Order: sequence, then C-alpha cells, then structure tokens
Amino acid sequence: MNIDPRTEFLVGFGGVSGSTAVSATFEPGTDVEHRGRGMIARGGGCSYGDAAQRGGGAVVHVTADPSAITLDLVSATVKVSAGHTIRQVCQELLKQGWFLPVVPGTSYATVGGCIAADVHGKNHVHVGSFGQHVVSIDLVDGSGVEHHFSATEDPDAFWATVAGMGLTGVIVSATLRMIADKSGWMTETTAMADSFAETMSLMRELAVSHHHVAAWVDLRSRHRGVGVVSAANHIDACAFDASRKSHQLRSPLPCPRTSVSVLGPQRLAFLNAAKVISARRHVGRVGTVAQKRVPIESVLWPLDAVANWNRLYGRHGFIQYQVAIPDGAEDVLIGISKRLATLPVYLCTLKQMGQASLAPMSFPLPGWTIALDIPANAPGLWDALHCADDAVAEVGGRVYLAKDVRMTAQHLPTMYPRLDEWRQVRNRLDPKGNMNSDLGSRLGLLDSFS
Amino acid sequence: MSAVGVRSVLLLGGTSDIGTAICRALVDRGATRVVLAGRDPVGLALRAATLKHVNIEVSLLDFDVVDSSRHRDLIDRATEMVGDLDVVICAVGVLADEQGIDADPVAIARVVAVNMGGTMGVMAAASSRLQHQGHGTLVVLSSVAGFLVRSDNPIYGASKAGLDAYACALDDLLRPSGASVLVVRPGFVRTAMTAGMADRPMATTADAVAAAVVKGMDHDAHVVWVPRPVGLVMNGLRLLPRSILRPLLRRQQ
Ligand SMILES: Cc1cc2nc3c(=O)[nH]c(=O)nc-3n(C[C@H](O)[C@H](O)[C@H](O)COP(=O)(O)OP(=O)(O)OC[C@H]3O[C@@H](n4cnc5c(N)ncnc54)[C@H](O)[C@@H]3O)c2cc1C
Ligand SMILES: NC(=O)c1ccc[n+]([C@@H]2O[C@H](COP(=O)([O-])OP(=O)(O)OC[C@H]3O[C@@H](n4cnc5c(N)ncnc54)[C@H](OP(=O)(O)O)[C@@H]3O)[C@@H](O)[C@H]2O)c1
Repeated sequence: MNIDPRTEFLVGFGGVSGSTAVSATFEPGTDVEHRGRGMIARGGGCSYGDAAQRGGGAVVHVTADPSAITLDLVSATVKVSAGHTIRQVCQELLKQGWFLPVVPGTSYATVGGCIAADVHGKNHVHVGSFGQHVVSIDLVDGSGVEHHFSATEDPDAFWATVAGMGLTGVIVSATLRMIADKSGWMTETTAMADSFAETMSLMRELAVSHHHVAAWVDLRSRHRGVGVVSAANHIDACAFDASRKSHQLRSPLPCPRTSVSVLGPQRLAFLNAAKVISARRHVGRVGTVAQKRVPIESVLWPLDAVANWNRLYGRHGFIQYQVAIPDGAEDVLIGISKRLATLPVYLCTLKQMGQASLAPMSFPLPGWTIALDIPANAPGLWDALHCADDAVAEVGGRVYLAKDVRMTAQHLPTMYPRLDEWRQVRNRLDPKGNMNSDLGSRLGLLDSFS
Repeated sequence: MSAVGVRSVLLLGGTSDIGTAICRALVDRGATRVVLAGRDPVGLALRAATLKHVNIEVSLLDFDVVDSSRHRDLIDRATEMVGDLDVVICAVGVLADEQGIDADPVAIARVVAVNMGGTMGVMAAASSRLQHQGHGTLVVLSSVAGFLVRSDNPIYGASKAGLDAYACALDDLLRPSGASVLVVRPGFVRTAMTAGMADRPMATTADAVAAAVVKGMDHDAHVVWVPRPVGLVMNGLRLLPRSILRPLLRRQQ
C-alpha cells in the first residue's frame, strides 16, 4: 500500500459528517499504514453517510482499469474491476446486447460499492439483491493477503464481503452475471393511487407483470398521500423494432454548487405538487395508467440526469432515512412516514422487496423499503428519526447502513440479528482490525461483543 | 465540521452555564452522547439531568483543570465512553479578585493556572485526539476581555488573552488534519460567573452564545463574537492609536 502524504476531506453523498484521511493507492501484498485508525475502500462515494471514509486513517480510492471489462458469453458473465462504475459496465454491456440483472438508483456507484452494500434495484422482489448475481470476488484483506471467493469457494467469506461495507478488505475485481438486453429501451407504465395503502396494493398488482416497480409518495403538498407508481420492463429483442437504433447512455447535466439550501420547505411542497400535477397530466387521473417507451436510464437512474443534485441541499446537507419493514408491518411503515411527514420531506420513494440474500449484513428483507430525503438542519429531525428507529427495530425492520450517518449502536443487533456471525468471519479475514470506517467505529461494527 | 453531524460532545467545565447551553444546542442538532467533566459531582449530576432525554446518553468524569498530569488520561477515558469526539468544549474559567496593582500574587497565579495554564494543557490533549481522528471541533471559551485587556480586569483579561492566542495558533496546527478550533469571544453573559454583577452594555445570554457557536460551526468559522456587533467594536478599537485607545480602556475610578 502506498501512502500518498496528501490528506483529503471526504464526505458522503448527503454532505453530513465528513472527515479527513490520508489517501492511499493500492498495492496488494504490502501492509497498511493507517496510524492505528484503520483503512477503508471508497468507490464512487455514492453512499449517503460515513461508510466510505475514515477520519485520521487511510482511504483507498478504488479506480478502474478501463480496459478490464471481459465478457464470457458462454456462461453469460462479465469480469470487471471493482472500481468500474455501474455506468461504465452497462455502457459496455449494452453495446454487446447485455445488461446487469440488478442496478442501484445511481449509475455512478462502483461494482465494489454495490457488492459491499449488497444494493437492491427496483426489481428486488423478482431477482433479489446485487450480491445474488455475483459469481466471484477477488479481495485483498486487511493484512494485504489476496483471496478469491465464490458461493462455493469459502462461501462464508464471500457472503461476509457481500454487504460487508468494505470491512472485510478491498474488493479488487468481481465476476457478475449478465442478462440479455438488445435494445437499451424499456416500456414504462405510470399509474397513480390516492393513498399510501392504495399505492402499495397498486405496486403489488403491477409487479405481477412488470420487472421494475417503484413509487414516489407525496408527503408534503396538498396532494398528500398521492402515490405515483412507475413500472417498467426491458423491451426484449423480438419486440424491439430493428429499424430503431439501440439506445446508448448519455452524459448528465451539471449542477451548480450552492452553499445555501435552495430546497426550503415551501419549495419542497411546490416541487411535490409539481410532480403530482405532471404525473396527472401524463396519467390522467387516479386509477388510469399511461405507457410509453423510454431509454433505460430514465427508468433506472432518473436522478442521474442532473449531476451533483445533492448540492441543492446547501452546506448542511441532507439525510436519507431508508428503512426496510417486513411484510405484515405495513401499518408501521405508513405510521412512520406520516410522523416524519411533519418534517420537510421531499423525496419519499417506496419499493417492494423479496427474498433476502445469504449475506448476514444484507439490508433487504421480504417486505417494503422506504427512503425519505430530509434537509439535515430540519428542526426536530434527529429526535424524530430516533423514534422512528425504535419503531423499525420493534417490528424486525432495519436501517440501511449505506444511507446512514446518525444511527446509534443501540438497535444494531436487533436490526441485524446475524451481526455476531458476520463479525466472526470478518475477524478471520482481518484479525488485526486494520479495516475500519467512520460508520464502523460509530456503530462499533468491529467489536466482538456489543 | 458543521454542527449538523455532531454525535458526541465532551464538555470541560461540565457545570458551566455557557457550556451546558452549547451542549443543549448540539443535542437539539442530533448529538446523542455527552460527557460532562468537572470537579463537582453533584453539580454535574444536576446538569446531566437537564440534558437527559430518551435517546441521549450522558456520562460524567472527574476533572480538575489544574491537575495537568491527568489531562491525557481524561481525554482517553472520554473516548472510551463515547468513541470519536466530534466536539470538545472548553468552558472552564474563573474571574479574578481584581485589586489593580495590589492584587495578591498567589491569587493571580491561581487564576492563570486555571484560565490559561491548565486550560491550555487540556486543550493540547484534546487537540491531539482530534488530530488523530481527522475530524472534530475544539470550542474554546475565550472572552472579549482577552482581546483588549482593560485595567479594570487585567488578571482575568490577560489570562484570556494568553488562552485566546494559544487557541488561534492551535487552530493553525489542527486544520490540516481536518479538525479545527472555534474561538468564542462573548461579551458580558448573564451566568453563574457574573451573578450579582450589573449588566454591561450589550449583555447577552448563555443560549445566545450557544446559538452563535452552532452557527459558527455550520460556517466553519475560526472565531465567533457574541453578540456579533461586539466584534466590530473591538476590531475598530484595536485600530486606534495607543494614545487614544489606552485612556479608553483605563480603569474608571
Ligand atoms: C442517487 C442515488 C440512488 C441510489 N439508489 C440506490 C438503490 O436504489 N438501491 C441501493 O441499494 N442503493 C442505492 N444507492 C446507494 C448506493 O448504491 C450504495 O451506497 C453503493 O454502495 C454506492 O457505491 P459506491 O461505489 O459509490 O460506494 P461508496 O459510497 O464509495 O462506498 C460504499 C461502501 O462500499 C464500500 N466499498 C466501495 N468500494 C469498495 C471496494 N472496492 N472494496 C470494498 N469495499 C468497497 C465502502 O467501503 C463503503 O462501505 C443510491 C445512491 C444514490 C446517490
Ligand atoms: N459569563 C460571562 O460573562 C463570560 C464572558 C466571556 C467569557 N466567559 C467564559 O465562558 C466560560 C464559561 O463561563 P460561564 O459563564 O458558563 O461560567 P460558569 O457557569 O461559572 O462556568 C465556569 C466553569 O469553570 C469550571 N471551573 C472552574 N475552575 C475549575 C477547575 N479548577 N477545574 C475544573 N473546572 C473548573 C466551573 O466548575 P465548578 O462548578 O467546579 O466551579 C464551571 O463549570 C468561562 O471560560 C468564562 O471565562 C464568560
């Protein structure tokens, strides 16, 4: 490991609680200098909280070797470096008529970050999480030793690295499963529902015939409770009109840096109302649906259309509170959302989730996940989120660590009941405790007993 | 670091009115773990009770600022209790029995030992921890009295002047690591320290100081004056030639 003497201030996508670390570049086989604070890998920095930073320690920037995307058409797999962004991989795959089975809501996340957080897409209910489509992982552990894991070669270490939040070591490369996608286009169905509960049942209905389903629920404007559901399918090769060009990914618009928040409460309510009105115009009214053909990125990564939109929240940044709630506890989910709706929530997205993966620290569980974006300086926010944590833990739900910057260790063992099992495998891979992140130390993830 | 991301706070001078007001403001912003360090266990427990809340964990530590040999240990113990220290507030301070030229040398030495010598020591111990962490803010309660030392409180003023100068230099040392010092220069604040004294012009409250500190942290400021106009006045006065300035600062008989 080469230590670059430059130190660097790093902060998550939400812009809250940054810290300064030494930047390290990567060289397997050597020991790590991290001043006793530990080191952590950082990919695209798209996690919202403090997972990819280590104040006073070292941060390894995992970058990609641009030429290292190798497709194996026989097994329908692709070998990529961990630093490749989902966008780079998908761009390359689309050119050859393929795509990834699971992608997160941003294409700027790296493969390493997607494995480390075991990310989910809008199709979790059908295909599960990212880790469920990883064939093998190459990792350098905290002591600089190289490993190759798969579901059959050291499966414990494989599943501890999936959703391991970088704490088992640095992922160098991985082999992922691919799905065929000849067009790069999707058909998108938009529908509206009048209330939270109706939005959920509409989503269940649409999931029968659609691969990707997600909803946006308005918690702020006078249309409060209105849900806009988007459901989409890849257009398969036969249905795809060969006279049309297959779609390739475009670059995003830039967004200016602001130090003051341009997303004040009134504007948030206005944006929500605008979204409902535009959906109304498109869909007509509640109960009807509209269909259109759209490029793949406008369904899967709508937020990537504007680069650095997170800066709109100004210097205080924002919190994304994302929780998973098991099936049967829908009323708790609705209750939490209603209570948090007293805060200036702009985005509130809802997804259904299916089978959990084998990874002990994986976030998704059969049920629902909701994510709320709230300016970090909203009065009463922190208290409200602590109360929400209590309610979530009580019904066996959990907070998503890739989004978290504020939770205390109190509920961690309840939310992640397989924590100790994961710790044992982690300790085997990193007995000296060389890996650590601000998230890890805040939640005591490395501690043997909590 | 912006006050928004603060989760753990160590207050040195755990019974201080200004210090506990800052803790309350940080708890309102999301801090969940607070350590109060001080000499008086009963006073600390009473302060802890005012901060306690369902999700707030308050711990107490025994601390006397003149006991310099234990300062590093104190910081280590606070770290064991709450993990990384996001904010350390230094609110220790005593007024002097100002007798002009007739002041008791022993009393002078004692005030300087508390306000300057001892406080500098614990600031150094805290700073090395913050530097190690790569983040965190050391909030130092200096005073307007230390910016321009008047002849009606030369001992207190000089001790704060020394402390203030040290804090500013410490900030330079800390910034490259990602940690920083916020120097707070309040005017007259109505607290236990000033109880029974007549209000000075532009008198303020501990809560106003706390609000200014939080705002200063949000803006990553180096110095905050409370109330703000005091800063303008003081900086203006400092530009005056000595022949005009010193008579203005002279003790009024
Ligand atoms: C607009 C937006 C939408 C999003 N939508 C979704 C979504 O729909 N579903 C979802 O699940 N998530 C979503 N996310 C979260 C994001 O996908 C995850 O946080 C993901 O981990 C980010 O990857 P990254 O490369 O940016 O990782 P970073 O943020 O850099 O790091 C995240 C974690 O991964 C670890 N890590 C990164 N690279 C490596 C490596 N090479 N080896 C070992 N560990 C590594 C880090 O140590 C850290 O713990 C979204 C984020 C944004 C900004
Ligand atoms: N009030 C003002 O007008 C004003 C103006 C400018 C600056 N300040 C500064 O602001 C800070 C806080 O003042 P305040 O108004 O909040 O006064 P305060 O309530 O009297 O607080 C002073 C604190 O210092 C502690 N202390 C004194 N000697 C100590 C020692 N040897 N070891 C450990 N702790 C000791 C006291 O603890 P005990 O309870 O154990 O005595 C008390 O907690 C001080 O530094 C003060 O100089 C105050």
